[in-house]
Amino acid sequence: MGRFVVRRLVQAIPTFFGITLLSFIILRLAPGDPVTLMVGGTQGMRAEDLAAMRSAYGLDQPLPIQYLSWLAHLLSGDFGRSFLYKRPVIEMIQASLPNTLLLAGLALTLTVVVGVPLGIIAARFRGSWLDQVIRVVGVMGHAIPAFWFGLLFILILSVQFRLFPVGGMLTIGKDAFDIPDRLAHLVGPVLTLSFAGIANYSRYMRAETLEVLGQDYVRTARAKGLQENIVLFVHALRNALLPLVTALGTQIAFLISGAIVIEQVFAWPGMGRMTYDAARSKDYPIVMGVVVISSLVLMLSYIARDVAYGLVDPRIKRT
Amino acid sequence: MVASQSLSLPGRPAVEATPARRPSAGIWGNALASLRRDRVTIVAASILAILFVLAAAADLLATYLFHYGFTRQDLLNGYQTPTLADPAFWLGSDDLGRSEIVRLLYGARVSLSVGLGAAIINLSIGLVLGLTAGFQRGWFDDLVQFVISTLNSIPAIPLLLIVSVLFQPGPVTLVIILGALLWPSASLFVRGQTLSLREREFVAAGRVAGASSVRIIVRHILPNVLPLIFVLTAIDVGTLILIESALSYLGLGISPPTPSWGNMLTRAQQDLSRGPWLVYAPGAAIFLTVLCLYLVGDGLRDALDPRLNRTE
Repeated sequence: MGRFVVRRLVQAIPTFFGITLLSFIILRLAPGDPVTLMVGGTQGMRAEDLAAMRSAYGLDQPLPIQYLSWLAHLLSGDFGRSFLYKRPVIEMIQASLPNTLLLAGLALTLTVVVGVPLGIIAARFRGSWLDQVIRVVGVMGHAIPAFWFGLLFILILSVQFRLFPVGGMLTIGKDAFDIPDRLAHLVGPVLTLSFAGIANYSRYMRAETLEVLGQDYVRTARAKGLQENIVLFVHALRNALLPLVTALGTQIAFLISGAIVIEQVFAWPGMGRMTYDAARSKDYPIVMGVVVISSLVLMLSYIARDVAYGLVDPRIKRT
Repeated sequence: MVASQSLSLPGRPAVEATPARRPSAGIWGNALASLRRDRVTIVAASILAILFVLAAAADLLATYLFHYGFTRQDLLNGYQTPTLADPAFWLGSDDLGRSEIVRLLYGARVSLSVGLGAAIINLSIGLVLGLTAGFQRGWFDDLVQFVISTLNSIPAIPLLLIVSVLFQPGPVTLVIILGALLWPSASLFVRGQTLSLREREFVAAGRVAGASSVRIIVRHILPNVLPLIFVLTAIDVGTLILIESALSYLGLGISPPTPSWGNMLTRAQQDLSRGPWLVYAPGAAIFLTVLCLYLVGDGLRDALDPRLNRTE
């Protein structure tokens, strides 16, 4: 097992360079060099000031050198400074990340806790009206734009029925530890962020369960007279649940992307909203920092997923 | 055969004898036969066809039916509630008094063409790389897999955000960006198919007969992959429309004054209590379009692959 982890980590090294290289290339392909972007247009600047700034930031060096020095800064945790706030990017990300993790963590939990049972129920009562309903919801959840779902939530439940707050993390003027108020603010974003995932997981789980239920050992279990529920929960589910570990990787990628959009809908003060604001004001060191960090998070969660898969399924050949 | 000869009599134009029609066998014939029985897919495909026609006819409809251009403003008629009295206000008007239904039609044009255009780029890249990598294996395959795993490790929306910030795309640039960055899933799929097809007997037979790699790929493997490409297209266009609308909603995709379903929703959010109808229509349009595309994709897949539809 240890060797497998090490091997998987070594495999990730080229990917890490790929991610940083691609980010760097995108950054430098953009029209205008970083100094122009930073001062917001170079009109009225003397040529020697411009040149001085370029050399101060190392922009007169050859591109490969620039890449390596950028990489060295990244590796020592230096993601540059925000153009707008002049604060280190890493500090700003650290400040907003916990809010996003709270949102994404709850959404992921809800996705698994609701999506998996729905899929099992659909498979258990295959062909019934319950199965039909779950399948229809599954297809719809896949096709509905998440931000529109959020807007509908706000429009109907917050604006028309005034059941939930419209956005933010807590009501202004309330105590920071007002738990019911905080929970009320969480309902909309978490539900919106997990809806597509729930739909996905229920579809996936239904297909997996049906697949396993068709296998020979399940027939044997039924043939020896076991109750259908015992066959399902004791024999079939263990194997049906395995591929869900794989689906976690995709789900985390989806959550990172989804959080940016959903935080915007609900004015949730997390990393996504910060990224959005930075993008609108062309504060691209922040956006770049988020791209690199979220890619690293995603890469590590892929590794964790593969390791977890190897742990729960001894049949996996670790080649 | 007699049936295909043309019949000509003196003094009359030649009459082509129609050959006796036989139900066509083969993958397309079978697929068509089973699609004909699949009511959900037929309904979804019809809705899509209507949408395409409406989007294509947006100019005509705006001029002759609604008498209202998509940029025309009427500040005194802002937040007009939907009414049947005036065709232009069937779906109400927005804060500037612009006709919601006309803008929805032009938005359909943008969303559908961005989705289709980007999907075509995606699938072309995916097809070429997938076929070549899957067939040749070796270093080229490793390289492609490396690029794919890198692209897959970068979450889509942050990547698209930074690219749109730096390049400030119009519709055409947006198509290129989406097309150039989102091809990995198509490529992985084609590669998987190619890997299994290249071990089949007909490929070996082709090799024995002295066919070149290019010929085997184009004449023998491609036709086997192609049907499933249509499935991928339907699903890919749906996903791309979702991504485009999210980007436009964030203000980083299609930007005003060009209406797109996504940026119409940004505007709608500004005053939810005054114009709730502005939230329903564009979102419902995205939802319906994507839903139909996914349903058509699913239906096509079931129709094309007789082995698959038994498990569902």
